Amino acid sequence: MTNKFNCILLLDDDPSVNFYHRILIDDLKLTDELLIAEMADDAIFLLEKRLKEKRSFPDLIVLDLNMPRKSGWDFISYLKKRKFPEIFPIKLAIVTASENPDDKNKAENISEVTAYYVKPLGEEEFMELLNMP
Amino acid sequence: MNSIWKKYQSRVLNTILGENLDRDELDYWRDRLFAQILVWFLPFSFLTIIPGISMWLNHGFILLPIVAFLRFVIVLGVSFVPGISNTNRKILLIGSIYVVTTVLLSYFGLLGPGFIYLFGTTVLAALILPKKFAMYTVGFNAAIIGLISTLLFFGGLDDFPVSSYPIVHWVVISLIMVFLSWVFALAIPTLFLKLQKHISNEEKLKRRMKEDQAQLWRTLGQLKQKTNELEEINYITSHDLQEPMRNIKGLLNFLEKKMVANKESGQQASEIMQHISSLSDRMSRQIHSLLEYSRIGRNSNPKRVFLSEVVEETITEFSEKAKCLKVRFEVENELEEVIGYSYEIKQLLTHLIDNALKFRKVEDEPQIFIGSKEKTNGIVLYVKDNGMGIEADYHQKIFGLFQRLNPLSQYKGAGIGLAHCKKIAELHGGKIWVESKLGSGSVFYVFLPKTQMNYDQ
Repeated sequence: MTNKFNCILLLDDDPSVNFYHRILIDDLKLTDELLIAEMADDAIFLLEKRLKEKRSFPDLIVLDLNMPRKSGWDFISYLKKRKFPEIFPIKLAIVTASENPDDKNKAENISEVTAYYVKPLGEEEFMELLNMP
Repeated sequence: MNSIWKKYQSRVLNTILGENLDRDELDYWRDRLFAQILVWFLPFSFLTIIPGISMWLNHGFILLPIVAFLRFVIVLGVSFVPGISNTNRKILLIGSIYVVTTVLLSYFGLLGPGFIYLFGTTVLAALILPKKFAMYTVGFNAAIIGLISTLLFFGGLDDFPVSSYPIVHWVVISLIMVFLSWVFALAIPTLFLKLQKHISNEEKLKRRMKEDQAQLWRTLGQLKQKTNELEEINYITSHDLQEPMRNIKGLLNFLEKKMVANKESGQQASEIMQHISSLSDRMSRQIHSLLEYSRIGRNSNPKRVFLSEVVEETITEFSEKAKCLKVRFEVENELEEVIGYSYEIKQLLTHLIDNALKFRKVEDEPQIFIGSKEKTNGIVLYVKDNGMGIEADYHQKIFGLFQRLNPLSQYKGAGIGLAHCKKIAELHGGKIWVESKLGSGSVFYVFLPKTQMNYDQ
């Protein structure tokens, strides 16, 4: 059992959500490296850059669904297209304000999605994610 | 044989009815009856020539075959010659019958077929012509009988069989006949009118029912729209409004835990407080705009809106901001007047101008052009800017509730302005769309139809 993530990527358009997740992650000392993006395009840019520079790739992505421009779904399509979940051991956690059952069903049908939570995440959820295989 | 008869029948019907197929009108049915009568009357009038000839040969009544033949020719003409008005055709038919009738009457008097003809003519006229013509025939009947009575009295018809009747019988029976034809001349048109009234009432009822049904469908459509809107608002209150709420709770929990453990640093606490404050601001902004959204069109009725005035007012309200940002406003043409909701149209313009300023290019001085284009069924109002522009992928999405193209940290706002605009355009029965390319400005178009909306003067 690992007690830490190598690198976590937070992708949410709401800076307050990112802030809250950040202080929680800091407090729980969940990772050494935390990446934060407010738009899917920024996150894509970050990932591509890391890949090019051969730096450690995030092993947890906390992803919002409803975002300006590219949605969370679009971002998942990008990940799949780039085959990142196959190459890297990525845990993909969808966190959304949506309790919409359609979204949940859709998420359950995507094998790359590790978990689906209503946001924001708490200490318990982070620990759960850490302990997931 | 059958087909010849059918051909003949359709030929006559065609001559009389032509293109007139307005079954709502009494005249149509009168003409139709007239045509049907002609179909049978033509062979009948041909056949009556035969007894006429026989009477001539046996009794020397030379006039009988002549008038019978004459009538046949007239009926033939009435049935087939094109270009005669139907009223004239009918008068010709009735006139031809009158000639035969007068001759028959003067030969045979009361017992002959002339008397029945006389009565029948009134009935025929009542059936195929307007009421006044039926009344004329009653007068004609009286006049013909009067003429023959006078001739009888002065011995002018002494050579004819008619002279064998006593004059008193003649007068009494004639009076009864005239009275009877008068009754029929009154009764038949009345019956027709009543029938027509009944039929047209039924038609009116049918039309009203159709209108009611259409109204019902419209109301149902409005109801559906309202329900959709409510569902949307429901979804939003449970989704978009919950989000900052949960976040606040999370932050407070975190803070509480730290305080209990006595581990919080003053700096982090103040940062948390700042986030809580901005989250609450966002919530109240969202609630406020949601209320505004649901209020669109609720508290007013459509009125005459002078677009030029509304545009002028809206621009004036931006004057302070315009001075700061060095905005150039230009109204490109005289704007028409529409029927609509002036407060809402002003809101729409305000949102569009507000967006144009918010998403201006940093390097350029903002320019905003407002104008309209006349269309056949309404007008298209446009607001054009030289701002950042929008990629085609998002031309639809931007009009959704709480949809944003930029992260909260870059641009404030509830993400509801264009949803407002869309609802306002739809309130007027119109629509809104955008033409834009990233980096080269946007044009927002609003189509406002010329409707037959009921409005307060």
